[in-house]
Amino acid sequence: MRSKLAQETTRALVAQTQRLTPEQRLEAFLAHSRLLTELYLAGQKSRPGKHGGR
Amino acid sequence: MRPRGAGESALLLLDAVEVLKAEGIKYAVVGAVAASVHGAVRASLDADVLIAAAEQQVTSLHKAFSNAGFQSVVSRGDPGDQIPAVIRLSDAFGNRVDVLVGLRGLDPEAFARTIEIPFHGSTLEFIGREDFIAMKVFAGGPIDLVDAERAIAANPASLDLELVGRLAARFGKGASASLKSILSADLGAGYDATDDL
Repeated sequence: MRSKLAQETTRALVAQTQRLTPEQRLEAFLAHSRLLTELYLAGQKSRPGKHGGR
Repeated sequence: MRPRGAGESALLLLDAVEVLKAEGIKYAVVGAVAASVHGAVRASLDADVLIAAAEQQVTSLHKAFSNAGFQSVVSRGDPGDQIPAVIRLSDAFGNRVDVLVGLRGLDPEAFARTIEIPFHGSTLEFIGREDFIAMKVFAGGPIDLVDAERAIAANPASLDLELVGRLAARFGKGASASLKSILSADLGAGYDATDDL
C-alpha cells in the first residue's frame, strides 16, 4: 500500500525518534518492550484455556 | 544477570555481550534493538546479535554461555542456510537473545563499521546503518522492510548510497531490487537508481 498520509505518519514518527539520543532510544526500547510484554501477559491471562484466566 | 522481569531482553543482551567480550568474539547488535537506534523504536520480545565466529566455535561458546548462567540451546542451519547456526539464550523470565553465528553474504567489514552506544553503564556495538538496511532488505519480511524504510527516512542525506547498494548486492538480486524500490519511494526525484546501484 502506498499512502501519502501513511508516509507522513512514518516520517513524523521517525523524526520524533531521532530527536532522542541513541542511548535514550535504547531506554525507550526497553520501556516499550517491558510495557508490551506486560500487556501480552495480561492478555494471555484473560484468555480462557491452558494459560489460565476465565 | 541483569533482568529482573519479563520484557527485558535488552538487559539480557548486555549479559550476553559480556560473555562474547570475554571470549574475544566480535559482535554487532542487529534486529529490533538496532532498528530502535537507526529508525524508530519498536518493542520486541527478543534481542538479536550477530557474531564473527566460525561454526567450530559454537560448542565452546554454548558452554561459556551455560557457565555464565544462561539457558543456551544451539540450532544449526541446513547446508546452504543463510545463517549457519544460532545460539538461543534465555533466562527464567522468558527474556531471549538470539546469537546469530554468521550470515552468508554479509560483508566481513561490517564488524569494523559498528557504532558504539552507551547503555545502562556499559556499551554495545551496533551494526552500521548501511549494513542494517542491506540486511533488512535481504530478510525481506514486512517488518524488515518497514525497518529499512525508517532507517533511510531517519536521515536520507547522510546515507552512503554507494555503500548500501554494494552491501545489498552481496545478498543477491532480490535484496538489490527491494533496496532500489524503497530508495525510489523515499528519495523520489532526488534518487537516480541507474547511477547509484
